[in-house]
Amino acid sequence: MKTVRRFARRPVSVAALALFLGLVAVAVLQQHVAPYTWDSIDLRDVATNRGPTLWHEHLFGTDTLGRDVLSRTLVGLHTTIVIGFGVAGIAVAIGAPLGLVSGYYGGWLDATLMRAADLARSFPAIMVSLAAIVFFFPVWPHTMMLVLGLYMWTLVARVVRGHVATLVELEFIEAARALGASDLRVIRTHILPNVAGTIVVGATAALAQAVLLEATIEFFSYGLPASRWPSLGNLLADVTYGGGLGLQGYRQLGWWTWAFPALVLALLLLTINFVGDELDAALNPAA
Amino acid sequence: MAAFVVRRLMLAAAVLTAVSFVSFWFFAKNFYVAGGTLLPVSPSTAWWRWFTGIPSGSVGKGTFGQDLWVTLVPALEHTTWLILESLVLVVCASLAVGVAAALHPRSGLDVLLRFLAYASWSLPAFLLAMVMQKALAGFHVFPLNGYPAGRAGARHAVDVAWHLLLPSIALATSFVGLYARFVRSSLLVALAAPFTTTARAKGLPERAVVLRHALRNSLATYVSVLLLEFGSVFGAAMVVDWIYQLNGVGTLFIRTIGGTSIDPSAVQLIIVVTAAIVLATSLLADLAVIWLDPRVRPR
Repeated sequence: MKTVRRFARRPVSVAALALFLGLVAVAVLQQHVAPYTWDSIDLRDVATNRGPTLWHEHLFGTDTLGRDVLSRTLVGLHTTIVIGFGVAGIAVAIGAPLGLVSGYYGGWLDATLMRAADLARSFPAIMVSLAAIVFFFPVWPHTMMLVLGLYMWTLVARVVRGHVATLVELEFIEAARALGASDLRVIRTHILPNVAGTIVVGATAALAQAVLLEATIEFFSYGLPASRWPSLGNLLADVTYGGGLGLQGYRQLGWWTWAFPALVLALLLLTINFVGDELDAALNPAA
Repeated sequence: MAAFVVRRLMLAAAVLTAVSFVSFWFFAKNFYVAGGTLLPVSPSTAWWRWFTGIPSGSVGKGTFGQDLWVTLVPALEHTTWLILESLVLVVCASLAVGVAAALHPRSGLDVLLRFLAYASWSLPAFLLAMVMQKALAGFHVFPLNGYPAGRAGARHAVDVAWHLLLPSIALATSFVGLYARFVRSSLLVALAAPFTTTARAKGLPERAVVLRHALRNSLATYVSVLLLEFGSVFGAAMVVDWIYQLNGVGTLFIRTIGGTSIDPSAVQLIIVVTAAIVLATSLLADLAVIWLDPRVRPR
């Protein structure tokens, strides 16, 4: 509760959280919010490759085929957020228990797990995920979640383990043990409530990383097929390569076709990082 | 000290062997029929032949006998220059921003720099690279893609630096925020420490207090963080190099795994060389910290 109050006292962090929740809400409700479906083509001459206008039917403009950029961006945001939350969920489901056990018991298990986590972290994530994703063609959202989630758990495990390792040293854990509490009971009733905030911070870090990595993989045109699952990353890739990689393609394309998905992606990452960091600061007021 | 280095090198060798086996086996298993014409033996046997052939120079030989170094060496060179140029930008910008923010904590300047740091931290390198390339396409001032050819020399070096300007700005920007925040917080700690008070009490000019006493002390952790994040810098450099068509490791990796039949030994070589570079920088990070901060020297 104290943490929530400390977090709420800063207007900037509340604004960032509101913006993030707004993006999530719009993404979840995209079917009801979006003015068009993402692949419907407006064939009238006035409606292809038009810039954004407030009084026109297409708020963010249309691409060269006459598809509404706003609707496409919203569907892309939806895919990106679903994958991001899926990855964060898998990362917490694997990373939090491992971090708890590793921090609580220490010893060889801790050393091996953390060494493995270090290795996975030091390697360029994009290389590993690209090498893994090559085997799944065509890629589905759940394969993407699985590949990234199996890579991202180390992020959560690390922070949880660090916090648990400091808690185990404290007197109240010793007192609980002296009263005869079993390891499971100590972890469940004394350690878990104390590290809940840390798990959330780890989850936001995993979420930000997942969104970034997913967009990068899509941008390399290795992720979800854009014709089936538009995401912010493959919308950008579509616009960039638009008929073969090269610099010729995009001169005819209006800036609005890439600027809006790029802006939404940047805004999403900014709010996730900011909320996570402010939450971390609210949890550790001393630092 | 020597024992520490030897232990780390042995660990690195073990990791590299494991990485080479896993990547080779993975790609051979999924793209070849074992015993078929392209891969006459099983994946593990093929890897073992490669591994035992290292002393006689099997590294750099593809599965079909082609020379892999011919493509990998120039790619590594291009990526190295890209990373070095961005590193210069990152170090200069993050030190300047971090020190400026730490000297005036909680001022308007600090808040502004904090916001910029968040913005730069949250901007993916590929997004910035792409947006800069598109936005500057109409002006014909900066080279937008390609790595210049030419003989080594001063002219060529300037040409390369000029061509790498936009890519390294894109790459540097996504890391400046993180490091500037780091410099700020560690410098604030150092400025509040007793040794800073001592330096001020001695009557040293403020400049010397900040630069020689406080900043010097926060440098050890800065350098270690800078080198520890090298994996993500390398990953971002791969993407930037692909967007600007610099023919670096990123472009090579995408081309290598892009085909329908992927040569497992070619993929493996790129992955193992990258792993070796990353492991070497992490060892370097530990050695640099030991050199800068005698307190953590292992006995």
